[in-house]
Amino acid sequence: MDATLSPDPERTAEFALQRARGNAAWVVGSLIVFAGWIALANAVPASDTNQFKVKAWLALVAVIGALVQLATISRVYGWSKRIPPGAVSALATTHRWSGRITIAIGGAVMYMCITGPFAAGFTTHRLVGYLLATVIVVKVVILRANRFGGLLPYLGLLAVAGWITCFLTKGLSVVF
Amino acid sequence: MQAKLLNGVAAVFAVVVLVLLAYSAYGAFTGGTSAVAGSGPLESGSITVTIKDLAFRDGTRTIATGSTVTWKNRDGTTHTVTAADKGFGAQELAPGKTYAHTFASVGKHAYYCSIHPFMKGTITVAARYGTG
Repeated sequence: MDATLSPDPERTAEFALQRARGNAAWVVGSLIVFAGWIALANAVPASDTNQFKVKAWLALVAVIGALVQLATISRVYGWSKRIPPGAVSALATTHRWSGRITIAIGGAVMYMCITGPFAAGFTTHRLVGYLLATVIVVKVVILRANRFGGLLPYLGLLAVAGWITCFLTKGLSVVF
Repeated sequence: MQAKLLNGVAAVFAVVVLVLLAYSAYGAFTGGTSAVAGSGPLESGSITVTIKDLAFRDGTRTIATGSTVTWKNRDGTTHTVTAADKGFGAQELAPGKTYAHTFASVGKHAYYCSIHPFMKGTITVAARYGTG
């Protein structure tokens, strides 16, 4: 006798609502973080000589966050066996929160860069920065939409490379 | 229904963010328009501020370090260019005369005419290579 398993409609709807609430929370959280970026940019404007140092140190924190992202997901995906296994859920939680912090802190640097006075034209730093921002937005959208998950590792690696490249092309000389 | 509404809002938000990024990138690479909520392209080299009709025409500027601002008095009366922080200035700039100052460091410099204190301007100096 065959037993056909079919999804419980009520649990599916409950899960969908939970995901949708999470998506809305991301929107609200993003707006709050964005307000923080505006406040920081006003506190340390481009005409303030300290802005470079502030951006460089924040960018370094973002790079460290990106490396934590890489380390945690390496174990989850099984890319690295050197990192102690630990509990997968703990690694996944660390990965999620380090990603959120990296976006919040690194995004503040991006905001100050984008909204400050600029000499128009092509620079590697600028191109990589905009690509990095796009990769991050797309990665978050894919995560929240729960589709095309196969792209996540590639987007993540691109993001790590982007954070490091942006820091090396601008922040390295300021911090060290 | 609620899930669809919330997802719809999130989707619109994501699209708006991507559009703003694209708009900002266009401005940054081409200089054709100001960056999103930003102060716009950085002037560099030689910048002229004309003094006319008891006003500093385009007297508030954002320039790159190392740029030189030249004030030209095209008015019919004498003016001064007096920095609020006393960092630069020209006393009694007669009609037809010019005064130039090179700004070597980042900062915000308000100035005015000491004879006509309602005449004001600001020179904001940012790093030569901009912010990105």
